[in-house]
Order: sequence, then C-alpha cells, then structure tokens
Amino acid sequence: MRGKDFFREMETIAAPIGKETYEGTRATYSNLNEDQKFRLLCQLWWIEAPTIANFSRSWWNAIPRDPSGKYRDVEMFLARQMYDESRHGKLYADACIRKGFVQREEELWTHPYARPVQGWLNFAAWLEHLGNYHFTTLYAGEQMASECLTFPKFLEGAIAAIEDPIVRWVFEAQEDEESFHGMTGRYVVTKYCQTQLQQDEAAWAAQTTWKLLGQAAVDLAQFVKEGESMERPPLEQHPAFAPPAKPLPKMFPKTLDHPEV
Amino acid sequence: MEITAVMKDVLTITPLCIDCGMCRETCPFQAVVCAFEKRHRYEILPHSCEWCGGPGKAPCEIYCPVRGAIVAAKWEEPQTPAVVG
Repeated sequence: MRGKDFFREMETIAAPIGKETYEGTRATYSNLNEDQKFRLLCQLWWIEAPTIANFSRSWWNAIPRDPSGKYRDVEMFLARQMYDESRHGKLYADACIRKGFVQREEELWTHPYARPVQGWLNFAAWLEHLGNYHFTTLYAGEQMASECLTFPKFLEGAIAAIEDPIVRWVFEAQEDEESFHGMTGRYVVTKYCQTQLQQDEAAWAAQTTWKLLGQAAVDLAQFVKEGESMERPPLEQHPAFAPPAKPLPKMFPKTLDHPEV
Repeated sequence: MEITAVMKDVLTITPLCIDCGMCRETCPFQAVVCAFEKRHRYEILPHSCEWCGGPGKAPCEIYCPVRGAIVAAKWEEPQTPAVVG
C-alpha cells in the first residue's frame, strides 16, 4: 500500500490508544502536591536531557549517507528535533528552579527523583535502539507512533489536569514543537515508507512503542503518586560518578593571549 | 491604457510560525523560501504560491504543526500591460 494509506491505518489503530492516554493522564495528574509535581518534572526532564548525547548519536545512523542529498529533508527535521528536545529538557529544569525544587540544573543529574522508573527506562532504551534501523522504522516508531499519535494526547491531558501555572506552562510551551515532531513522522512515513518490507518493520516498531509507552505511563503514574515506595533502578556505579583519587591539575587552554603558567 | 489589478488567492505565514520548515519541504511549487532577514524565517512567495485547493487542503497547511501559522490571503498580482499594435 502507499505510505499515505499506511499512515491512515496506523492512525486508526492509534485512535483508542490516544483516547485512553488523554483520559488516563487527566485522571492521574490532577490535584498533585508539590512533591508529586517535582517527581513528574524530574522524570520528564530525564527523558529529554540525554537526547543530544544519547538518542542523537544513534538516530543519525538511521539516515543513510546519500551524495545527492536525497534525505536532506529528514536530516533537517532530525537536527531541529534534537535542538527542540534539548530545549525541552531546559524547560523542565527551569520549572524545577522556578518552583524552588532545585537551585541549579546540575542537581537533577544526581537527584533520586530523576532516576528513571523501570518502564520509563525501558522506553528510553527502546528509543535509542530504534536508531539501529532504517530511518523509516525510526520515524514510524518514535515520531509517528509516539509524538504524532500518542504524546499530544498526553500533553492535552496534562494541560487540562494540572492547575499549577508553572508546571502547566512547561507542557503548553512545547505543544507546537512536539506537534512538529509528530508531523515529521507523518511526512517521513507518507513519503518514504512505501514498500511492504518497510511497512512491516514500521508497524512492528509502532506497536512496540505503544506497548512500552503504556508500561512507562503506568510506572510513571505510580511513581508520581507513591513516590519513594516505588522501586527504582539502582544508581549505576559508573566511574564518571566516582570522585578523582587526587585533585586534577589545573589545565589552561593554550591560546595566543594566555600567559604561560 | 487601463490596467486592472488581479487579486490572487495565496497562502501566507503569520508570526505564530515556529520556523520548523515543514511547509518548505512539502510545497510542490517551491514557493516557501527563507526570508532575507537575520532570523531567516520562512515566507511564501505570493507569485509562486498556487493555493493548492485552498486552506485545509494545501500540503503546507496540512503539515503545519501550528494552527493559524499559515492562513489564506489576497495578493494583488502585478499585471503587465498588453502591447497594442
């Protein structure tokens, strides 16, 4: 079938999922106390903050290099999306600062609330993994299934449910850009996802996204409502977190103007 | 010689635009271009815009993520006077 018809089919499948997402979000995130708002902001910050560092490097691999500039449109969309997502991470961090939950964004990197809950971590790992496929599969699984057909409903539900103006504004401020990411999914699927093989893989990616997103939404809601009682993945014992054995020597950049030290 | 202006239906970009570039990629007539200004926002060249069936049917408007960023407008198309024998 044509890419256009494939998108319409996916849209039909996603309609009840979108409705459920809206209703679930609206019911879950109304009447949040301050601590619950902080937990919600931290978890959402977590999925946006590593976008440039992690998702981006994997997603670029999904777009083949073409000397004739065949995929220039997709490259431009992805570049803009990376910028948007990292700005959205800043929105969540700034909301935490405005609310007085933290003083600086750096605090979030080690804050227990910003450790991803299990479903959320699974979903993020899936997003990164999608970069190993052709970009039609990536765009069907992320931009179409999540950002076009599901995530706008989450945003709508959150805007309708959350009364706090600072927290609500975070969702309102990114509505247009998330809509743009969704449109890139629609565009890529319609234009490039034309063969049976591509559509089979794209459908599988979309179904997997919906399944993982559903689990993530349940875990996220439970964490936001119940807080510390929710089991979280343990802190990774990465060398980056360990303090240096001895103080690092002062290194100055060698520039023409800088005096020798 | 009387020259009557012809009003042409076109689409135009409003300040609600977020500069995502979807309209530029979807326009079949390459009527959407970067404007000559520092923020290089997009603009629709009225002489190239072919309306594409009007609001709600043009690809640029269908794919535009912001409601109200692309709207219908009237443009006075300059007419070349006919050369009379």
